[in-house]
Amino acid sequence: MKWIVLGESDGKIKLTSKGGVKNAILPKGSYLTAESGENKFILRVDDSRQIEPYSPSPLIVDMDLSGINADRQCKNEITAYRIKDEFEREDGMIDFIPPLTEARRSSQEEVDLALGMSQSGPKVFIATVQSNQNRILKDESGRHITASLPDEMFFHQILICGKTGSGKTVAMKYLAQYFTEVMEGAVLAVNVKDVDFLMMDKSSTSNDDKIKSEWETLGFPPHGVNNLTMYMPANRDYERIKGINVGLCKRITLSVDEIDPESLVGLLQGISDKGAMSLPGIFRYWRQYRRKGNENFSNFVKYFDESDDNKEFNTLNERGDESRIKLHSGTYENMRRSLDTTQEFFDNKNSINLGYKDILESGKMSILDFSGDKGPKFGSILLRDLLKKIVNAKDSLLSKVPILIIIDEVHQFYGSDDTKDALSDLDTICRTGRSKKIGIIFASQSLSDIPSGLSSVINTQISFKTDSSTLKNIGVRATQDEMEGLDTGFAFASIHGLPQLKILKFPLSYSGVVKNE
Amino acid sequence: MDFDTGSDYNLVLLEDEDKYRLSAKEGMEAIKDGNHSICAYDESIAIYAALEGKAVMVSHALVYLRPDEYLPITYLTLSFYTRSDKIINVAKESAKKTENPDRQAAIDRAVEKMQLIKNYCIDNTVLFIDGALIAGDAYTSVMAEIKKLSDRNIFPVFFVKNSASNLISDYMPDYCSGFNSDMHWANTILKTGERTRFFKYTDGHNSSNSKVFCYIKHMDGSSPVRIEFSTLTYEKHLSSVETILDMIYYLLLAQGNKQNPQIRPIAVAEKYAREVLKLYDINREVRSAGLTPTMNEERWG
Repeated sequence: MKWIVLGESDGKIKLTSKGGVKNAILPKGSYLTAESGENKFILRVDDSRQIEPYSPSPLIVDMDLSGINADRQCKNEITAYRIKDEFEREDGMIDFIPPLTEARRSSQEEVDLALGMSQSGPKVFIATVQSNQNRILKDESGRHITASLPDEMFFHQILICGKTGSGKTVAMKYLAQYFTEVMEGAVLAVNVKDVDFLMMDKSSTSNDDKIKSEWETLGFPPHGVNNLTMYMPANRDYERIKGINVGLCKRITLSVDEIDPESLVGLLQGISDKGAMSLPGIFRYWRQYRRKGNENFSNFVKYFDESDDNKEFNTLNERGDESRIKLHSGTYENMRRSLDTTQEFFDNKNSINLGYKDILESGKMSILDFSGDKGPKFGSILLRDLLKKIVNAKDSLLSKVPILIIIDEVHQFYGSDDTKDALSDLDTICRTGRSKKIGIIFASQSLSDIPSGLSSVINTQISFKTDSSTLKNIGVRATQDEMEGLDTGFAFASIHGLPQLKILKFPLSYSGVVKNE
Repeated sequence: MDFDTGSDYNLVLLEDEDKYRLSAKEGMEAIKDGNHSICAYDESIAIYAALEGKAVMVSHALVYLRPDEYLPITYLTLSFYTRSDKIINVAKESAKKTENPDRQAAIDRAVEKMQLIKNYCIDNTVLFIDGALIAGDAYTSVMAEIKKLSDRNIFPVFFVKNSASNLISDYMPDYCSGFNSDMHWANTILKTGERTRFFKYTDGHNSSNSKVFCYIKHMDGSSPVRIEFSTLTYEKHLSSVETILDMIYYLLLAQGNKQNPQIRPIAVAEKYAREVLKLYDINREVRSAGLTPTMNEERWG
């Protein structure tokens, strides 16, 4: 099928389809190549619509007579942005695209040129949206057009938004597997729901021909992750979880000896009083000066419980400065309740205390399972502690393994109003992680779930089916219907290092998507 | 335009009833069954009046109605007419010497039309043509060509929508009197989906100039239209005439325009004719030839 250039208006090229049997609408987001003389111009379709050149009257249909078939002919009228010229003039000027130039759908090579893509990077499919229908872009031969997301994208913070079932988790699995297998990095992924990330050792299964065709295009069959460990809270009865490989599971606990006191800030979700932020200092003081022998966390809780009636505590900061704080009685009660429920996470027998070496292993995927009832609370502390250890190890050059951290439902672990102190190492990673090769993927149902302090450092945003307010940050022109009607796996995106890629589809991940039997 | 051909003529009633019912459904079926190849002709004209003469650009369009598409064949001509020998000496064959540019342009236009039809209309075709059969000075050449078309089983049907003709009321005042025109009369006696009986007109001076015509009313609130055939064509294809009239009725409804009734394929031919006319800017072409425009310029088509 071909299109004919009519001219330019307001910076966009206007085209109309050439008549023919296979005439159809080319969806928004598609790429066209117009050839004139020696030069090729690659265009991206911004708007596409149907026009009826013969404009038949509906009167005949009112009379229950069928119309003339020839009157039903339609043409496709397009406006497109000029993305790339194959050859640049030496005089600094830009070639005209003259009217009556013919254009056709771009090939993979031409799209690669237009997007400035490298050949490496996780491959996704370039997609289109038209009249609430999502399609994967194809060339004239019917082959899928792919795009390689740049590897650098991982270290510039990624946000993935989408409603449940939109394809968010599958995309995370796909990226995680790429990171371990191709980039030979380490992945630390948080599982918060069901068995989302607990089947990564199994190859994905599907009877859908489209999915199989996509895998074929990418050139890889489905396969499980080779090096996988799943870390479960000590009190989780994981043997009862259906379908998981119990042999890959390990129990973990927090250690009163080794925990970073700042991690206890994770307990303070829902406690808004700033006085509560002194908890780490109180714990540090107790551990330094009041702990006797091998007392465990329960003893600290007891210490906290038995404070004098004034609710005053000594504190010790990281520098070793002592101080004293008086807690408001309401704050004290909230903190006491939180500490009470936290005891079971500490010092469990037959459980390991995670260190950076457990995580920072080339080609290893580590899953932290916080999907149980108390999982988020446990995760709020453990995640902070572990991130601290990882950042310290990186800072001290104890490990050069690149790491990707995936935090699903991030608002369960970090409040959307958390201060920079509360965000702690998460904030550090977001701002300086690139140099240390630490990347983070945040996932949530909505942009508003992300801690406000971090939203400004997100460089890549991928939005699956979600509310349209998220789109304003991406710079994509789509209707609310189109945003909310995205099919599973399709997303609008703003990718670091690939600004021209706006609409894409993730393939089904090679591992972790297994049908329930 | 419709030219009355003078007062010396003969008019005969060819049918018994005053009016007959048409069937759009049968017309639709006839078109869809593909037994008739259908074609339509229209033209669009641009005129540039200069002091030195008149430039006339004509866009002729022949459009086939195929099962799934309209297939256009177009032909664009540009002629310059002058009475000036001085211009002819300079322009040579690029200009035509004539004492009456308007008359000559009309004749040439008719000749070009018939040439296009002769060369590109396939055999066994119903050919719809906008305008009257016998009109103006070119009708002699048109009639001659129609006979040749008839030998190839090409059935030209002429379609007239604006007419002040009084052929019937003048010839048969007892039959229809008190009306402003024959169309006025037809509008009064016809209901939607009906046609008048056929009338046969024969020129009193030249019996070969003969046509058969009737009026059709296709829509309430819309003027009737006149359908004309050459007598030769009518007599040769008498068995198909009813079917063709049903097709015409259906095609009028397919166009569906109350204010401007037209047979659908002719309307499409008109679109193509107008579009092709835009390919050349007659103003620029004539100005670049160094000619001087008159104060008033006409453009009609």
